[in-house]
Amino acid sequence: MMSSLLNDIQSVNLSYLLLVQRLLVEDTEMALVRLGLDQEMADLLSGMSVSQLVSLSSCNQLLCELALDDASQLKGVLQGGRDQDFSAMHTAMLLNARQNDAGLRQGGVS
Amino acid sequence: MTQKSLVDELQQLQLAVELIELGARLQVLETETEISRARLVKLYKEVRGVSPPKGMLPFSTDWFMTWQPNLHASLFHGFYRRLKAQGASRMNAFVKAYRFYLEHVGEDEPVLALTRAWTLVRFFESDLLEVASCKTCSGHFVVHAHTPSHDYVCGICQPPSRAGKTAARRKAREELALEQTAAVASLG
Repeated sequence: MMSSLLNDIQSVNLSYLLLVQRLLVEDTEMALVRLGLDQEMADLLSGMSVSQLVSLSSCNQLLCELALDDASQLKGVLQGGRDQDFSAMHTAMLLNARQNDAGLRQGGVS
Repeated sequence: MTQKSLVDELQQLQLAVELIELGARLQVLETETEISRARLVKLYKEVRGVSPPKGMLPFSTDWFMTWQPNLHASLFHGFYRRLKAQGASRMNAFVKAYRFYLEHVGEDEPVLALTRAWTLVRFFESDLLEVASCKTCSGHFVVHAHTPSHDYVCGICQPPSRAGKTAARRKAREELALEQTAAVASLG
């Protein structure tokens, strides 16, 4: 039981890293938005070899974490919009807001 | 006519074709490229197979404040600001943000047409609009410039009472209910 869950974690890690690389090859600017990564991380990740990807993903914790990191935000997403389902749209907006706020804190352009 | 670089001209044509495919009106193309109006009309006909629509562009900021358009405009502009912050050029960020928006809402008849999205960007550039943070969810939403926004609550956290309850939606829901009843009946 434990070992199958561990396998799942490691395979999610590997799939995630492979997806990151594929997205970065396709269109870097759009990939940065989808992944919420900065250029420096993107350069490092896209330069990793297969064996580096495998050893990094052998970790027993997930490498990617939930991008909505605030319980009150998740609550808002689940409750918002009354009888219409806005959860996907709301989530996209909150992720954008989070990244835009982070950019402003680092003194980025508005 | 001044001597223009061929590469530069080609890039402008590519941008124009991309914008036309995404639904741009002629005014957008005239402002954002240096291609002559006559050539733009020709290009438009070649790409779309019909003459470009005539008439003025929508010029009111109020449309962006109505409930559903505000959500769509805010979503689009969030993508646009992120791409700009990453260092993308203005039109590159615009086209990619609009692609993100279309991808999100599904491509048939988006609430925010490309030309609307473009006027939105222009309204921001002339400081008629700005973004406010919702005090409930911290999302960023398009608001009129210079309005007090510290108590702003967005249209998702607090939808207006009649929001989304259009005749078309009610009809669709009734049809769905009928179908479901029929499906259940056929099972029984």
